Amino acid sequence: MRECLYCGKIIDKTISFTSIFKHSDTYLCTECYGKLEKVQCGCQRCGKKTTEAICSDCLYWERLEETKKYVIKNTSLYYYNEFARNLVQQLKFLGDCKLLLVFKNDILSLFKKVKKNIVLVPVPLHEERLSERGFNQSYLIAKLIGLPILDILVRNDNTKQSKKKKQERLMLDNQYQLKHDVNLSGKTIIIIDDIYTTGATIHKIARLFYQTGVEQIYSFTLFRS
Amino acid sequence: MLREFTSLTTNSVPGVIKQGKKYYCNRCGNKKLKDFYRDSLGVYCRNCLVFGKSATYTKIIREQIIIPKKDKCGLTKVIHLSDMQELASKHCVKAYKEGKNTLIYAVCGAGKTEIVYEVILTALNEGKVVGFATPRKDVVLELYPRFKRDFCQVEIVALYGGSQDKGRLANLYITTTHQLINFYQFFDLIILDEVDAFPYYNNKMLEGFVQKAKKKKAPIIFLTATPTRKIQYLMKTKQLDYFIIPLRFHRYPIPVPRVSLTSATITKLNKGVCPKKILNWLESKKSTSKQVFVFVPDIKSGINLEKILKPHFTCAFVYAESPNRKQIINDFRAGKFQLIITTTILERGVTVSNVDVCIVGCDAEIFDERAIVQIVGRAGRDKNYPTADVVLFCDYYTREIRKAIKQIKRMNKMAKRMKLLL
Repeated sequence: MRECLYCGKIIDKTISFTSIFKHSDTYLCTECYGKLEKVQCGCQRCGKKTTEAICSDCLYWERLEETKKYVIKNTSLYYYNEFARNLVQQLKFLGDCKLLLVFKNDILSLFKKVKKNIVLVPVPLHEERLSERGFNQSYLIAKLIGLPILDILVRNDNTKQSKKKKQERLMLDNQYQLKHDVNLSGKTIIIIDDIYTTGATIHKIARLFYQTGVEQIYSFTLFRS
Repeated sequence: MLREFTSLTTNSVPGVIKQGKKYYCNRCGNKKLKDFYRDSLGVYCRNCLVFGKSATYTKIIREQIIIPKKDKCGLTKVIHLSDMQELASKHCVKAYKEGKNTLIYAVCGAGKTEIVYEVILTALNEGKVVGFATPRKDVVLELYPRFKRDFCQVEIVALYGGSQDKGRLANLYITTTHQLINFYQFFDLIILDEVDAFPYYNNKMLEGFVQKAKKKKAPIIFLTATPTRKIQYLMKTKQLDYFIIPLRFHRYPIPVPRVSLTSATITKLNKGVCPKKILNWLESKKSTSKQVFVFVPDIKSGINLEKILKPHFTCAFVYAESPNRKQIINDFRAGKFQLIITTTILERGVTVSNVDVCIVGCDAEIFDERAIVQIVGRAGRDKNYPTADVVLFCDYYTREIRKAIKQIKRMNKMAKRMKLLL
């Protein structure tokens, strides 16, 4: 007997052969889970809902002077719809980190086939915000994946990304810094975040890592808006 | 940082404390281990999360506030109570003086609110702080102007989600049970209206709030029309003091519902057909001037029924999420249309003077004893129209239907025995 983490209803499992022999954790009732919309084809790079092969946002990053040297492939699990917004609201602004368990199954099945030599880089939180919320959601997502984590970034500004306009997001420099130099030659890094909106955060961090000699930069976010 | 008001001295406590192997939430009184979860900094309580995070690393500040004493409180006008109400009112005052919890079990439309006026005044005149708590926000909004009109020389504050009055000092607080979270050992008397209503019913968290908000020895007066099984048990075993009012203020008996068996109601509705019996009954109401409440078990069948009835009747369907819910209800009150189809959201607190009531698909699980009694209680509330036709359309008798009818009959019988009926 387990309660749905979002609506509190008791999840009734139908007993079948699979449910007996295969262990699976469900934290959302079928009704709530059905409201999550999985990312399916769209932009090849960021997963945006478009009919084009590569969306205009990604082309913008490609044209830009500093970011054109590398191309980032982003993977997101779900679209950021109304229900996802409510989930994020409860997760981030109420501070309910148990809610992350909801995504555990889908995250694990996504990372099943990932090859070795991978380092996860969670997007950092400002210290003040951390003490307010009690956890860094990106770090906890990285922890769920279960691959080696490199916690090397510091965040300098304390304003919420969601309170900024698109232009402001793109303009700001020096938002993130590396704590110390590292050598990551031959390795692949995956930047972990909760929501991909304009891609500004991911590209800024990618720029920092470009000098460390990484081979490939990927990014993983829970939601794609 | 979380804030609470208290009558004790100001101090601060951590949100969650560890007791042996268990945790305890100082905010909501939660002890269940499954409702706690660990994050990077400590352990937090998921039970009362919507009220702000209560965790081992957050502090609750309990701020002392002293309510200035008022010398004379009174009523602006004389309230005429019936004999039964008078007795119940005296009973409340007696229970309050003895510091005992008590229950006023009065049928729908007995005038429960007026009964507690006297006990509120007695407490206020002693310089005490009184809380009138109810699970429903609509009730707070309805009572606030009424109390404001009836009491003079009393500071009254209404607290509900989104209220402007938060933090103001008063002698009398009208509040939703959720808002009691902001108080710690504060009230000298709590009156709890509609104890059996959603969301208070079966909600350990809200029960905890009430216990937390009152002073340790302060009594609670419960008001209800349909006691839950737990309260019925307490009454039976005499653990809870009670007073029963078996009749309405206009001294007519409650209409006893009639059961009419239909077949496969919900399936038929889904196919776009309405059972003949129901149609005939509704058709017979067309010639009368009476308005009709039609209760349905769920939203889907409500929408179906509205589609079927729309060509023949002037009707509307309301449910919790319908956009212009208030507007529709007000239109119905004004008599703009004859038929209102609704889910159980209108089971309480709605008074329309001249109505007939029917429940379609009464065998559904949602219509339990309390719901049926409340719905029947919508009928015949007016002095001028004390009788009504109440029909329960169901596929088969359920235990709840039998119990509800039995309860209504029992109350009528009790009133008859006490020679109170007109």
